[in-house]
Amino acid sequence: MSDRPTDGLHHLRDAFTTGGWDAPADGCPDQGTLWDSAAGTLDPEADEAVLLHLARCGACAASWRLAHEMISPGAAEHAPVVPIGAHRRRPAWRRPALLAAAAVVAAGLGLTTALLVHRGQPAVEPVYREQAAATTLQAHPEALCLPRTNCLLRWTPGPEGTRYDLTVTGEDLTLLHSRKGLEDPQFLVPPEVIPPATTAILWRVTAHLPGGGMVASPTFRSTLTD
Amino acid sequence: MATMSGAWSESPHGSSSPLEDSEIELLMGRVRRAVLRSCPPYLASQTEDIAQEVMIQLLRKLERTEGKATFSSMYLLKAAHGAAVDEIRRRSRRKESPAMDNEVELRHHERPNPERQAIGRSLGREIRRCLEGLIASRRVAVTLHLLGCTVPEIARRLHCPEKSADNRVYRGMKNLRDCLEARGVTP
Repeated sequence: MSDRPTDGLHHLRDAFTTGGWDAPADGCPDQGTLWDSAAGTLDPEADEAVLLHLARCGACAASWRLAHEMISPGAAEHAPVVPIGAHRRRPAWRRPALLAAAAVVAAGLGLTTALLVHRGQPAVEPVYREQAAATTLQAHPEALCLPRTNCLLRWTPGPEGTRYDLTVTGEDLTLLHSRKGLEDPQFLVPPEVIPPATTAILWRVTAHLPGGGMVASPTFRSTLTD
Repeated sequence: MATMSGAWSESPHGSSSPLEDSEIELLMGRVRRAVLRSCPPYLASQTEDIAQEVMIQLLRKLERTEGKATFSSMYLLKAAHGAAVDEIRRRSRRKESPAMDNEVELRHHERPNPERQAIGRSLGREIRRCLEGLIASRRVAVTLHLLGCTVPEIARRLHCPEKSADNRVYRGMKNLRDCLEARGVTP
């Protein structure tokens, strides 16, 4: 349910935390308490007090988010990829035998109903959370032959909020340049890093998607012209 | 700057590092990744420097124990977190007042865009104002959601079924968006 309105979620998350790297105010929990809250080791009452404080304090929210990322890195991207609405947990109090019997009856009824209702209708594609698989990185056609003094590498953009790491090497795989955290899907390679004898460069992009996933491009070859 | 493993296999005083190289690499990888995902966008290109500075601070701290103590991985992460917070705050202050620090020459791409910063800060303030208007259970769920927690994690933390957590997040986010819209803010 909570997955439906994803538009701008990354933007909201960034605004909620990354703009808040100010010094903490009086009355803020100390770093240790924030860490313990992010680690889930505070007792429930103290934890709720901390979380309510985070709702109104950007400095503590930023610190808490960093702690959370360090404790469970990429938790969101490691979540199982399931169709939306299919991750409901069974209540633990149900007896297995009763549950199995109910499941058989429900499955029979459900199958019958589904066959009656959906007969003749086109199959609906399930919606998956995973966005990494849908994102591919390709070099812009114009970036495959570039002037040496204006070596502008361009590639297909990912979803809004994607950041890119770029590695540029010579054909002998000597590292010429690398940049991390690029916000735009393009980068002008400084001419001074390209040796005069180099006639082509190899480059590769890794995209860090807003949802936490990561996509690596193939290695592209760009011919340099004088 | 030298690589961490090379720089810290021996301390400046000749005693061996309190951590193995593999432990340092693992810890640094985690710090680097967390910093990249949490720091302000204009510091993203300094992720490596921040991570190395954090490791230097951490190893100096550990060396002061002179091998008289052992450390759990959680302790190390916690100490790294404290150092990372301090380092990001220090660099954020420096970026916001570059004229006060002549040692730092900001490259164009590293300069915070004042307009974007202002918009981000303004949106952050509006989000917090709107959160104040939510009922407490939704406010906590939405706060966790905005902090990057998944629904199953929110359910575990709030000791409620996933369906209930999902519901709180969904309705809370709707309340939040409605409130932002009413205030004329478009995320």
